[in-house]
Amino acid sequence: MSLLKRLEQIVILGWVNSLPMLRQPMQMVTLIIFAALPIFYMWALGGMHLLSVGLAAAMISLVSMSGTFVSGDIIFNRIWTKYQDILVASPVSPICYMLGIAVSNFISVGFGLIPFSALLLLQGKLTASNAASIFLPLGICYLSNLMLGFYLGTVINDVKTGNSLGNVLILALVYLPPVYYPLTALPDFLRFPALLIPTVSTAQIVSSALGMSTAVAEYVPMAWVVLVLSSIVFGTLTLRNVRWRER
Amino acid sequence: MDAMDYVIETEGITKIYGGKKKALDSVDMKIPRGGIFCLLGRNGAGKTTFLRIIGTQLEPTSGRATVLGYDVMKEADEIRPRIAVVPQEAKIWGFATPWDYVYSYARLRGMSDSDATQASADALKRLDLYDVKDKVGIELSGGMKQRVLVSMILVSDAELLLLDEPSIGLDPVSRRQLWSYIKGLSATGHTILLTTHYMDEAEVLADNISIIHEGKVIVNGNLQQILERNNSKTILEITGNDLTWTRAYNDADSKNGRTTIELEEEEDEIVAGILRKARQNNSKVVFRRSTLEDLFVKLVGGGEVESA
Repeated sequence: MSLLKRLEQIVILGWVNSLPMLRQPMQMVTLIIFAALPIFYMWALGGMHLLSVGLAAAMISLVSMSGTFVSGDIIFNRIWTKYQDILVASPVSPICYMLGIAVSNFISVGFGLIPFSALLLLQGKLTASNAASIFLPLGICYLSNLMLGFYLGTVINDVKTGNSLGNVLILALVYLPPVYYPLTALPDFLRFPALLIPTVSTAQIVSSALGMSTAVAEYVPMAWVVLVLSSIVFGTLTLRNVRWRER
Repeated sequence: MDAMDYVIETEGITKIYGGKKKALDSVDMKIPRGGIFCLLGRNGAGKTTFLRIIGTQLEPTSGRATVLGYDVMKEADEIRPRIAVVPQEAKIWGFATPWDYVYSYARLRGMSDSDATQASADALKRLDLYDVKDKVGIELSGGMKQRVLVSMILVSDAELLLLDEPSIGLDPVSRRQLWSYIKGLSATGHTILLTTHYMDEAEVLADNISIIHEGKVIVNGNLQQILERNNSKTILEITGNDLTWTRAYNDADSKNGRTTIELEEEEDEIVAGILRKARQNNSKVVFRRSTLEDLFVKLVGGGEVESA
């Protein structure tokens, strides 16, 4: 099959997998609400100056949730609807399938990022000069979480377990570690282990790019290394374990 | 029959799950080109495992299988564009319409936009789904949902269609409609491999049948051949409130308020006796030829039969 046909397959699979978001936008609204909820408490308890910290964290949260929750799509298509079985016995390649799902989730993320980006823009925090420094780490963080989602979607054989694990992971990746609060709030001995979490690394890079007072510049190089390495590790883990034909 | 006349050939196909559960045990099978081939068996007999190996969705533990002349393990990429499957208990998404399903599937199989549009419209019309093509899954009946899955394989234009228990959960009218669509597919030159545990379905649809039991093929051939080979007999089927009197007959087999007695030749006197006693006990007696279901029960054991 030609490259053009493969690209068409990716777009079509991306469109098909986007249908829930397009036809039931409440799913996306719910994700945005969950990402934005802590901002309300930050603003209520800490004042306006924490708003931009919260907005940056909400973007990371949204990116992380969208990536990790891909496991649910994979398990649902494989176990519940058997759509993956239909595709296996067809000319669709596993790479096209993965990229199609990645594209659909990317569309969801794109929509979700709009309100947070707009508010940062209005605050004057997001500018043309720092946009790349903000969206590039967000993109890599998405990729890292996406690979984690693909891996979980491959190894978990139960829809409910997949959904529950996705929620637990979001707690562990976004709400507990220093994403909505500064890394410096943790005791010294916990800062390095926390920085190994891709979302925390992203938070350091993004908050530094936004010029926030909570950012610690010396952590940024380390954060980049962790972010890139985590994508490679999760990507390798996925590619080694993903099975198009079951064993 | 020439080797090219078989769409599927397997030699010693074995599948063992988790190193211990043997789902298929050295299955040798040849499935001819054209027509409908039914794989019959109880739940867990190995039908789905066999179909998934043929569909390149599952690796066998050992043995060799070719589909349309290609090896399932080494040449899966050659097989996949030439087959289409309806998996067992496949479901359609609640948010997608029949059109979304059929059109996207046609595009994924490499059709152009105009060809996919035309083929999708034709397929949905043939399966009486065109009027509901824009309704989302949650608005469709169970029969419609199943037909959406069948319309996907219809639009595929694949040579070999694999349907794994396609009528499960459908009401009697929807089942008969589905049978008619499947027969229509066969008439257009497709080869269909279908698994079922409904004997009536196999009797209506199948040109050839294999009965699979505990991972082994125990019977193979067309319906008439199978019944003849297994001594199709006349059966007396007796129903009534009190069937205790039938216990006097050695060949009587009583289950679920019904007794069946297989008649050997030259048993006119026994038949006369049964009819007399049936009249005395107000029981109803029906004469019939033994069916696939009788044979199936006999071959796979006398447990609960899973047919309707």
